[in-house]
Amino acid sequence: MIVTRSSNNFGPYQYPEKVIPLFITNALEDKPLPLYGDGKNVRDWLYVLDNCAALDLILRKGKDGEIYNIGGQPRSRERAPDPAGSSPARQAGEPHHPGGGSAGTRPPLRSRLEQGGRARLEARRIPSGRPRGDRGVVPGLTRRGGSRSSPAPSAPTTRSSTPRASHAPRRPSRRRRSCSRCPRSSRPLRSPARPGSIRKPSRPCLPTSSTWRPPSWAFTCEVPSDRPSAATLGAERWGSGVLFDAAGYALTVSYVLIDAARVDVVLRDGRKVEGKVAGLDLESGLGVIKLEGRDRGRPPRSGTPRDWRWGTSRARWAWMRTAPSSPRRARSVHPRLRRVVGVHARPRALRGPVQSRVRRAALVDQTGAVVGITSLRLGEATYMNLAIPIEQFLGGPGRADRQGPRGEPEAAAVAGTLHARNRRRAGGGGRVPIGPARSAGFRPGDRDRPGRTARRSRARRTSTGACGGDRPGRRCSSWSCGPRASKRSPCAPWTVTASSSPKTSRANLRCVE
Amino acid sequence: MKILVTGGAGFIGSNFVRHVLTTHPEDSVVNLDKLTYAGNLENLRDVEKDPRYRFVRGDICDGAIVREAMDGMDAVVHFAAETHVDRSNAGADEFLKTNASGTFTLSRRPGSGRSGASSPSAPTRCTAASPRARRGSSIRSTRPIRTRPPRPPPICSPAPTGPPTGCP
Repeated sequence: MIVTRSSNNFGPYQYPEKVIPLFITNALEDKPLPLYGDGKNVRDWLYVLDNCAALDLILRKGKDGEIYNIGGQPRSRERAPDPAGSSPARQAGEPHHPGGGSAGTRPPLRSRLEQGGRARLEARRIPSGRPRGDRGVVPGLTRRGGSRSSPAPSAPTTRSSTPRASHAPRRPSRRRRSCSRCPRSSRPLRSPARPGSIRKPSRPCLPTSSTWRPPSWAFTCEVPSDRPSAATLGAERWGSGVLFDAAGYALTVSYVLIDAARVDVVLRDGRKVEGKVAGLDLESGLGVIKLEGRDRGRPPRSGTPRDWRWGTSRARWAWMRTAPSSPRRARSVHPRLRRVVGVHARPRALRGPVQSRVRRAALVDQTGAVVGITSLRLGEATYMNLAIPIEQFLGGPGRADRQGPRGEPEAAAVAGTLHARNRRRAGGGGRVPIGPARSAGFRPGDRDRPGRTARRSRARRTSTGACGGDRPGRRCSSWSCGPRASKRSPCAPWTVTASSSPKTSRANLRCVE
Repeated sequence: MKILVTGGAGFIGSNFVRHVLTTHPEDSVVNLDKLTYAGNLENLRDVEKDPRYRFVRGDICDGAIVREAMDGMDAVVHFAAETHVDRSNAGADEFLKTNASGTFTLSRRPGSGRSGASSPSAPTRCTAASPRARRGSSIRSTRPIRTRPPRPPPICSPAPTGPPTGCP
């Protein structure tokens, strides 16, 4: 007889009463997250297939009469969750955010002590270090991503005989820092020395979080309680974003910013700066904040659409052409992109480093350029807001005039929304507000401030010359150059691309019909 | 190797059954499960047509069923347990019955096959795996089962830094 003791399991087919599924489902429904005690308890978590591999190993190689502990072998000390909540709203116990978790807003925590629970549960620390003799710890198991755990086992039977968990997804090899075409890591596929020449990506390098981290940040914004959105979306909201412009412009999710009167931004290194809402668009779900003050961090290089590639968890790359010479192709999503959309929409497939603070990720291409951010809209599948529609938000022309590293204007406005469930129309581009924005009563074309709406509409009309907006009877409906959709001449959002004229930034927005 | 998995329709059990069937083509699995609230045969929908897999509905507290299911098995892997802490706060009867009494029923070794189990205890699922005999020795060993006295479940040690975290 052998006794095994594993730490807390998580993984597929878990009954939803357990804490991880419960927290996820409660957070999606904006219900309180029940906690025992004061929230300082720490637990060790173990992926269930790792546990099964351990049990299988013990079953075949274990010593009769022994007791085996199976631990998750955390790499670092976990941080205990923020116990009482740092914000006044949470301390006061107010239901602060009916919209829920998008853009980092957090549902309230509820202590079960208040609910009459007696037990204070503490972490059961499973020793998961090096093996002591033949018992105690089984090392060398697969971690969640399928890679081996780091400490070398001293027992010869353990590592060599560890069966690979067949369900564990293969993690794109982190060890492979370079590829045959790119001997140094993160060498761009498009050679700077020869602009215009694109190498075929056979085995491109993968950017990893160890080589590049986006200048991301988190923020809180306060909304006056008399504003209409305060009742539905809360008077205090949290979000996250990515800095994309040297002038301090940064991208986030739009509806968090609705009616925001004050935005306090906390940079990755902990410094706090003030932010101002530069613009937001409920159709695309994207908003832009301008960070004030110095030392906001250095933005990454913006990519041009032709440089985009999409990473998947299996290190396959699909890429999408938006060259003006192939409008028909540009209108539809590239088949390879379409194929990976489903994979891509799963959080673990994202290439961008996930911000631990709010668990959002920036999507970067292999040159390190931010091409999008992800957002989780409640009740829906994970959405990815793609690309950075700079033109959509910046006040005046000129921002996109800056020369990119390859002598091209930096990222022109390109946007769209990928939806995991709707693969065929993946490029359709979120025209309809969904989730919290929809439940708050917003409709396509809505803007938060009437004055701003009028100004922007005028600005748009003058900016759509290149796509036929100046011709009578023809209006471009792509959201990036026309405020309202028109069924007569729809433009695929993908087709908005950079032209060769760097001086007129508005002309860079060209719809290919 | 013939493996009896108790609680195989549950969370870890279903993952384990699938793991064994996919990684060990020579093994066969019998799943003994009572199908309480947490057990769901949908978890194993993809392997139920596998000829190496068989499902038996039954209670591990029922000695006759256990004896019958254990017949001819090389090993028993015991996952059947009540696990949820909230439920144990509401009422511990079912926990004692399944976790203590059921495990005891399993550990009374019927026949000659070596088998074993140990007490799962909430909240951590302490599953028990029993090996077949050591490599080279007969599966049908007549050696009596060796059992260690169960240790107290809390594995409780002070955190490396900071105050002790205490025990449940």
